[in-house]
Amino acid sequence: MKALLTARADQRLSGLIKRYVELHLSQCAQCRAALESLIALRERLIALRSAPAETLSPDRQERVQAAFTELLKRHKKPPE
Amino acid sequence: MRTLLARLPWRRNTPLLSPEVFALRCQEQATDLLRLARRLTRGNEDPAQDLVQDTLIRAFEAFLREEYHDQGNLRAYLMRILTNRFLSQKRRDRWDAGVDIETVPPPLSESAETLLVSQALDEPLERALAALPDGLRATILLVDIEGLEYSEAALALGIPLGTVRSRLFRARQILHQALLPCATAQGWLPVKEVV
Repeated sequence: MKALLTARADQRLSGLIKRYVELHLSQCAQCRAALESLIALRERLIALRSAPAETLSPDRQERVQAAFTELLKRHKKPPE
Repeated sequence: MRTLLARLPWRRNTPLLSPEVFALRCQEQATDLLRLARRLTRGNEDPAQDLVQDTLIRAFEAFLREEYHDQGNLRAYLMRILTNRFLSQKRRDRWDAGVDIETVPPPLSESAETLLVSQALDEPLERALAALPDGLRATILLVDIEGLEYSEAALALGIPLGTVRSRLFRARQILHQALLPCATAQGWLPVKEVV
């Protein structure tokens, strides 16, 4: 049931298994409480997606850009 | 229309992007990649920036070699490269140190703590995440925070789908336990143990 509750919290159940889990949840207060706590934790984790965004430092961006340019140059160079 | 065309069977292996456009699209993902890298490296800024830089360059090399076949989900593809590189490095480090990837990591350094926790939206949760073993932390970061599908996370982590599910369960159980005293202190509802 642990794995099924995890999948239920993620809304990744379907068909017969989903119906079985829903039926079990309607009869088991302990699993309902466990599911609620899993959903609450998941919502807190999802909220971390909106943390302040920062990007690569300017020198890293330059290095990436230089590497891209070099790779592209080598790629376009006709074979000798 | 472009997406629709990409789905047609005879177009599957035809590159639709020019290298210049692919490079731009990769760079657009740098912010998301850095967010993942910082949490994977537990707030160590230099290794996190290294990881993102290497990931972008490797992805571009793969594209030029025509090895990029992930139609559509470039973000998941880049996160896969980044996570693979992080875990491979960790495995090497831990092998040298004689411990495995499931080992609980050491406490956060002062600089890492400043980066991870000082401006965190949810400090207790950031601390609990940083205290997870690398394998569990990577799984929960990819699925719960970055929103990858289980199958995409399985590819990124190099593990079967069932192991993704069991790692998620274990990681959530540990987080739940770690957050309980804090939740009680702040008046949040103390929840029952997962059966």
